[in-house]
Amino acid sequence: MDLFLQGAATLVSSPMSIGIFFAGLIGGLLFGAIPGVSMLTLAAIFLPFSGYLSAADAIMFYSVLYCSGTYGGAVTAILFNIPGAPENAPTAFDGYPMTQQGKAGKAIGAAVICSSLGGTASVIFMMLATPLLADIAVTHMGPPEIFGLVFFGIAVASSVGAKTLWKGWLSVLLGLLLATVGLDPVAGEERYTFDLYYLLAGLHFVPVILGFFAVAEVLVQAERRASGRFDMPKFATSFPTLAEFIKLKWAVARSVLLGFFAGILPGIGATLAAFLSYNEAVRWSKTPEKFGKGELEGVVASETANNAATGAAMIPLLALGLPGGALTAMMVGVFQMHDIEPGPLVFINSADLVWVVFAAMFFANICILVLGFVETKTVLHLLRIPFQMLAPGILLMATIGAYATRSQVVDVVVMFAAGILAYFMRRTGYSVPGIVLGLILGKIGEQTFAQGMQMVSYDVGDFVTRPIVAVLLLAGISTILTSIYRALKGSRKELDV
Amino acid sequence: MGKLSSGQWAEIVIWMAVAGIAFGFSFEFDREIEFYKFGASGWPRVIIAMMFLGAIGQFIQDLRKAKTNPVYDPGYFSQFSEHGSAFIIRMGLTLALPVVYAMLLQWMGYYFLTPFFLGFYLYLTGERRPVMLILVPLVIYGVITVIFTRVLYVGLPIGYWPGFYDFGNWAVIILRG
Repeated sequence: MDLFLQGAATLVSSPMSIGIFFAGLIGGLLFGAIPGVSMLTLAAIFLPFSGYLSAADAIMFYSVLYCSGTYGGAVTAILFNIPGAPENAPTAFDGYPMTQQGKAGKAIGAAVICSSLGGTASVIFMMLATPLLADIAVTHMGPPEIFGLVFFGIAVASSVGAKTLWKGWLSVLLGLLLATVGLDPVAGEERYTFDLYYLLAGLHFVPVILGFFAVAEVLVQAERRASGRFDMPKFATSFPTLAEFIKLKWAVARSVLLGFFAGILPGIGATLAAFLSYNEAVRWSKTPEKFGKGELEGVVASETANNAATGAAMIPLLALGLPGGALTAMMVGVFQMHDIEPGPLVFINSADLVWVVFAAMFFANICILVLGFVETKTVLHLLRIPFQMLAPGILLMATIGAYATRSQVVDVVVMFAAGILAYFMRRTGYSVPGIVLGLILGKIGEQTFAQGMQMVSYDVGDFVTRPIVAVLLLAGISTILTSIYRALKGSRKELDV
Repeated sequence: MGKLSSGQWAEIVIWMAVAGIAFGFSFEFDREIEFYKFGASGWPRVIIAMMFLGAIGQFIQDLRKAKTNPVYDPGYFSQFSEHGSAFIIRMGLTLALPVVYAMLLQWMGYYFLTPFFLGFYLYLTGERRPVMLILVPLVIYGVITVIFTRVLYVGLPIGYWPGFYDFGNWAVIILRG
């Protein structure tokens, strides 16, 4: 507690530190909402200038940016079905239908509160348990365990969002197949590149996500307008009530834990945290059929988890020097620019820096609560803009977002092609989120499977009987069997095995 | 009764085609990797096999449903023909225009092409007032371009074709000062 108070005192004692804190906070909220650009753009722009700041201020900026940027992407996900970043994609599954039902305020209010809750809880866990959790994460979660986690995530993703179980599986499999484009993760063999230089690095998920969500949504709404079936989203500023949150307390608690533990794993971070948490919310719900149609719990699960992952992502970074994602990888660079090597010694040699960062993240999550509510009341008015005026703007932002990823026009073409594909798939009952999850998890899944099999010398028994792997594989299989059972029980029209 | 719609037939054909083409191309990277038993083609082929089974499963389900359902389901897109040819043309343009824009972007540049794209798309989404058709694209284009080009310094395509390249360069110089 003393160390935390010292960190907080250091933070507020310098006007420069306070200025940097708010710059990171507001920058993350704004940039996080711009798909394709996102908080990573601001982080990259700021990187060369971070050398002029003190180490504590520089690292603090990035950690605050991480917290606010992760929430920032939820706003556009809810209002326009355009996730600001992949970790906000599950928020759109129920957040956008809520907007269409006139409950945008409730969805954004829930996102604000849950992001703040998840992030704050995560920072508290982080402060209490960093050295111990880092050790567990590294010594007990190897490639086979991460593969188990991926398998579990895919199993759950395939059972939600599509008209039939077969279509759910086909959606995820398509995503997995698209993830194989590029170089294979084991030996670097070119796969499905058709001698195109562009495809050597595979399909970048940002243009694909922009296409699947933003472009597809514009096309769907354009079709509705053309056929006379378009309804303006209803405008309302009601926020979630305390009673609604109390009802969802277990969902929040579960999402905090899931987000935190998924966030510790290097390389996976907030995206898997959000998808896993959403999937678990569906699995544990007594009314899973309501998800994807405007269920508040879906927004709560996703936003709690992705912000819970932010604090957790600091653990491998600070304790072991292992970045959890792109932003934390930049933070390694910031450490090195200040001649600090992230790792166990940072707690001994630069303890004051570490506690300033912890205090800043704690206050950032509190500030998200305040700023988020203020922002909500103004941002909701965007819904009043007629669709025909909004659509070109959305397409233009998406175009720039896709192009800004790698400065390649081909990414823009891929985005629009993905949008058209997603339009047809949505109209025929397939799950676009399933495709996205398959695409994101496919490479991680293959890499960890290959590494895991090599570790156990291809002994499948050895692989699947590792305790954590066994639990995760069984959980995945039980998820599949449960969804088959539910489909059979619910309607023989849905699934005929 | 017992009849599948053309959409359902198209689905099974497309999935089989995707699986078949993917499997066919997998022979191009079906080489042994010394330290990895399954090679580069193992993982994709498992996915392809599951995709094939999934498509068959969906097809069988559609067949069984068609046999038991007395009402013929023509599929979602069949309603398009009810709205007339104007609707189909409008939808076709709505889908095609963004792709055409994306493909021309490299050659004609963002700065020249975008206002026209926005204007055409605004027309396609239902706006008919001439003032709005000119003003709204210019406002959207102006605001977003200034933010990304001048404030964020995001590089946008300036075009390759003569004339368009010069215009793009000029626009960047004006915006960035």
